[in-house]
Amino acid sequence: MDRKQERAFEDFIASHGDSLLRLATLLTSDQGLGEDAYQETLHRLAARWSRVDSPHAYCRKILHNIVIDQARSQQRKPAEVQLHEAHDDGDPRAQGEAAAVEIRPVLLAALGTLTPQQRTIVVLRYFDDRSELEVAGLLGVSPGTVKSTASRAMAHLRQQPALLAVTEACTKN
Amino acid sequence: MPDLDEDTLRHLMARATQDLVAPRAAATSAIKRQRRHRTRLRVTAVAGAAAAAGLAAGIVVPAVGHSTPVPKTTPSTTPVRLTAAQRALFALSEAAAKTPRPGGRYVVLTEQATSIDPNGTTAPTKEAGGKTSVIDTVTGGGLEYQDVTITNADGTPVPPAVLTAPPGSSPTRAQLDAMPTGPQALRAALLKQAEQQQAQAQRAMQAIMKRAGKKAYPVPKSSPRPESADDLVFEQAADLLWEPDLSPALRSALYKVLAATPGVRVRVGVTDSSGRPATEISRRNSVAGDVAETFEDPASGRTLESAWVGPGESLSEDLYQSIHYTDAIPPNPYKP
Repeated sequence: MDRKQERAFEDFIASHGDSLLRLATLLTSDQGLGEDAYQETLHRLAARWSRVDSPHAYCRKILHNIVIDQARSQQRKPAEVQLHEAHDDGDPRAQGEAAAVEIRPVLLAALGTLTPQQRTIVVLRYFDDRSELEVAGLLGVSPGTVKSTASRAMAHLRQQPALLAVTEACTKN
Repeated sequence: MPDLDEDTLRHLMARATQDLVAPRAAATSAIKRQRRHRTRLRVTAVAGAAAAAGLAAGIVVPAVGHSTPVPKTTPSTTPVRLTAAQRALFALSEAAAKTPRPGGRYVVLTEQATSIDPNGTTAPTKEAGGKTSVIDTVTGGGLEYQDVTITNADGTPVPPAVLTAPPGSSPTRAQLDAMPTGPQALRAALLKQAEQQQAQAQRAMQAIMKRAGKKAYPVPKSSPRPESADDLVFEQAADLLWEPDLSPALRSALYKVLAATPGVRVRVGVTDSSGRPATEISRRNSVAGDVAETFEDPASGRTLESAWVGPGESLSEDLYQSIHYTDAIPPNPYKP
């Protein structure tokens, strides 16, 4: 990268870094892994900056690849205990307006029960507001697959009691 | 129990992540990593180019639209017709050759940067103010004193900082002086440099893939065809012109290389964004379609401003307000 490109890269990250980190966190369903994925995405983006036409699309693609890699890697590792689940010992409905730090562990745990493909589709569709066509193009599947996968993922999430409890707490406020 | 529909999930995901803020150091870290690659390449390229510098070279003017590397020249009595663009570039070359490089170990640059991204999905980051960079011409390291007020898309200000650049972040004077100053050899060196950078980026990507335990990532093919040699030469030449510590001979040679690069546009009698008289040199990349511009001082041949106009008219500008040399690192000019 030359200085102009570095400036453009910095500007892009300054404008979109927060949303990319949030996207990475949701896609990996883990805050720590999300931060790692975000950093790795930036390094890969910087390496190809002058060749990338759409940084947004490229980042989404990279993040999706990282999520798939992490999922494969996790399959080879012994199961780990999620420490943050220990915080989920109270009834969120009694806590009034739920803060981000209270919602996040429950939401990430629920997203973690989806397959990587389901999670990517749900997050890109409903967090990143990508159309079915865009998501299909990004993942190399048909728009019909995106639609049906999203429906199955939503049905699965509706079976998560903790997530429904948080939903109720949020919709009451 | 409430129904969990798409809108509710959208709301939950937004609220669950609304307090996550990306560390600013992440972008700097990525850039520094890239700079390290680039510097290593530059050193390699300089060494290679220096070896090739003994080749005979002369001023070459290809026909308009002729897109081949600079041909070797032999003494000829055939008159050569220069285009207006080439005449302007040769005038810059002559001015640069006559402008001596000041003495002093440290180059002190006062810069102003602006950027506009009309296509961003969020409000553009606004940057106002300036910065003073100090480059150590011996080690290539330096400092950057910031006086910028950066306002994030959410309206939060980012405080100014003092950044340090490790040795090798910029080319040293010795490395720059080792580059060839004949147009033909310089063009070859710039092209080699660009190809090495691309190969390095490719190797870095492969190393990442290897670490991740995969044979290949399905990286989107954003560029269906490779950039031409003229694209690469212009990018490298414009990048090098931005370096403040070029010798008069090297700066002069760069303008001659540009004069032999098809597709280069020149406008004389313009002004830079601060109103100083300038000669504008620009070229549209044949693949990406973006336009790189550089504004030169017609009197001294020094670079005043550099700009990049991307797709959708996004714009990034860097302006040199002043350049001077010292023998000691100056204190932070913005600290009261």
